[in-house]
Parts: sequence; C-alpha cells; structure tokens
Amino acid sequence: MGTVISVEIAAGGSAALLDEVFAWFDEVDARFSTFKDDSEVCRLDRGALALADASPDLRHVLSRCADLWSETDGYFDAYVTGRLDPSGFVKGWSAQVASDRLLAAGATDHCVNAGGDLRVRGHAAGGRPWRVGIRHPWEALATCHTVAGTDLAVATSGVYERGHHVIDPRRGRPAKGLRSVTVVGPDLGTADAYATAALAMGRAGLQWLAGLAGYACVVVTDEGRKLSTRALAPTG
Amino acid sequence: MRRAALAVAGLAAGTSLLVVAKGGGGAAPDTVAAANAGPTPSGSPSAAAPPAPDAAAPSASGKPGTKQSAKPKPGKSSTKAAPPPAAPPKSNKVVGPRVQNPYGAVQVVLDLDGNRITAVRTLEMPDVEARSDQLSALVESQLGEEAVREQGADLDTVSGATETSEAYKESLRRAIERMKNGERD
Repeated sequence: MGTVISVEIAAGGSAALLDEVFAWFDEVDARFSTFKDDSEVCRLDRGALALADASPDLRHVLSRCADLWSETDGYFDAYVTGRLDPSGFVKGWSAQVASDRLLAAGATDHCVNAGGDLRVRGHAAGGRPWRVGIRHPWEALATCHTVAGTDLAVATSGVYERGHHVIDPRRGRPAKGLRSVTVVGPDLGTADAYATAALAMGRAGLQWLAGLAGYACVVVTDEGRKLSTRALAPTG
Repeated sequence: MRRAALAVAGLAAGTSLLVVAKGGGGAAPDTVAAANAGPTPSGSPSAAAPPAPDAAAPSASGKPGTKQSAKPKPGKSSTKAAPPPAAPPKSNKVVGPRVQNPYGAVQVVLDLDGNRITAVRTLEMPDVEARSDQLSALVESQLGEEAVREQGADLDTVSGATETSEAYKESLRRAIERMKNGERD
C-alpha cells in the first residue's frame, strides 16, 4: 500500500495482539499491493486470476468499490489510472478491519493510523476521548481543526501543493477547487473513498458532502476557507 | 492495568520502515528504530513514490509546530540574580530553492537547532482568488465557514494526506545539502 501504519493500544491489549494486527496488514499488502506482480490484485488485473477464484476479501473489496463508484457518481474510481488500483478504499478498509478485530479481542481503547487515515475507539492513554488534529494544508507541521470522540473514523485526502494532484476521473484532468477534504463517520473505508471522491469533484464536492447522511466533513478550499459540518463543532 | 503499546510498520516496497514501541506506564523511554524496506522494484508504473522525506512531520502525539517556551523553571529560591543568558542567536534556517513543476513553484525552509532540523515549512502559498461562486443553501445550512488558521492543541494524533510531491522532495533535498555545507540564510 506504500504507506505507514501505526497502532496504539491505550488499554486492554497485548503484544501478541499487536503481532496479529500487523500480520493482518502484511496479508493485506501481499493481496492488494499494486507494486507486487504476484499480488491478487495484479494477477486479477492482467487476467491471470479469475474473479471466481479470488479470495473473499478481494471480492468484498471489489464489490464495495463498485458500490462506492455509484454512490460517488463515478468520482471514486478504482480504475482511474487505467489499471485496477483499489488502494483508495483498501487503506481505510484494512485499518477498519484491524480496529474491529482489536475491539473484539478486548482492546477497547485504541487508535489505528494508516497513512493519516484513522480509526479511534475508547479513550487515549490520558483517559479522555481521542483528540484528532487535521493537518493544515499549507503548514506541514500545523493542524487546522480538531475532532474528538470515542468511536470515530477520520479520513483525509489532500492536495497540499500544486505539484500533487488528484485526477478528476470524469474529465481526466487534475481536480481543482479543494485543497483538503476530511470525512468523519463510522466506517473508515467508506470515509476514505468519500474524501477521495469529494476532492476529485472540486468545488461541487461541497454540495455532495453536505448531502451525505451519517458522515461529517472538514474541507479547506484553494482560497484558504475552511468549511466544516456544524454538528462537528471545533473543540479547540 | 493500563497498558500502552505503539508500533509502526511500513508496507510496500520502497517505503521506509519505522518501528516504535512505547513501554507501559509511561516510565520507559520510547525507542524508535527506522530502516529502509529496500529498493523499489522495477517494472512498476507507480514506483515513483519513494519514501516520504518527512516521515517525522505530522506524527502522532503532541501539538505540531509547538515551540518550546522560554519560561524559566520555578526552582528553589537562591541568591542568584538571574539565569544565565541564552546562547548568542545564530541564523537558524536554510531556505531551499524554488522548484518549478507544471502547477507552480514549491519552496521549503528548514528550521534548525544547531545541525538538527526542527521543522520543515513550505513557503509556497495559495493563489488568492475571488470566490467564484456562492455556496448553495444546502452547503450553508450544513457547513460553517471561516478562514483556515492554525489551530489545535493537546492532540493524540493527526489525520492528513501523505506528502508525495517530487518538487517538495527536491527542494527539501537541496536545502539539506546546503545545511550540510554549513550555509545559513
């Protein structure tokens, strides 16, 4: 997946549980990596693997990607590069699965961070709800918003410099208008895909995000305006 | 019993690998080890994503960009009149070159403490454009709007997109070279 993953267990875990979680991420990488020629994703993409023979995880991911493609009006597109690349969903989804497994194993208080996409549950080590900062688009070491909670998925897609862009899959050119889109809700795979899609929509993404049920957002525009769901009151 | 554990692992070829383990109870110091996961495999069209140069940047715990305050520590009362003066100020930053790409210029600044980099800032600023369209009634009813500003204290973690720009890395690489050559701005 080409990303850095961190897992913090504030209460209820064990070293063995952490090993299990990282074994899961290794499995995800082996199966879904677009860098590895022998991954299931690459084999399926070049026709060396039939869909019927794919693992249940891969079939689940492809099915969710298809649903998200329709839900986002085609703006979340696992084929935007011309090849199958479900990474925009897999990163969040695999962290969500890891968090679900941690909870089921008794680690009630934890934070899973997959390349800046987060799933937090319970409380941080200090005993209060997790406080999650959202990166400031123009100040790499600063944050521009805070969300706090005991059961949150937080996914951010951003274009922090003009050299880094996302492609609008419907026009085939870089999207403009929004610098950073954060989506907050119950499921991290969905939040990740929604954030990517809204960024690709450009300014129209604001309208789309405002109409989403069950997911809140924090958006920074190219002009340096911040728009955030009123229900997500900043906490300082 | 409260137990804290933190581990970080890099996935995929070419990604730098970080392992962090935090001891329980906050008594043991953090240990950090970093290693490179190896060469990028050839034949991959997306192999142009080498490890992010700022793996330490928006990391977990702690307020990003916090400067240490110069507040004197309350100590035992003594006859000393004043704490010793701080070391004489030296120039403590290096500015990287502006690196052009098809979308504009990128430029970074290193903040230094001696030869240690304490922060990497991006100088490139957004174009200020007039707002071209009005927000819809739906957006206005659901979303509050304000100017973006630095905000947030006492955070446990940070959400953000991974930095991947080649121009960013190029400006950063050259700023570090200048720093190693003893240059200061």
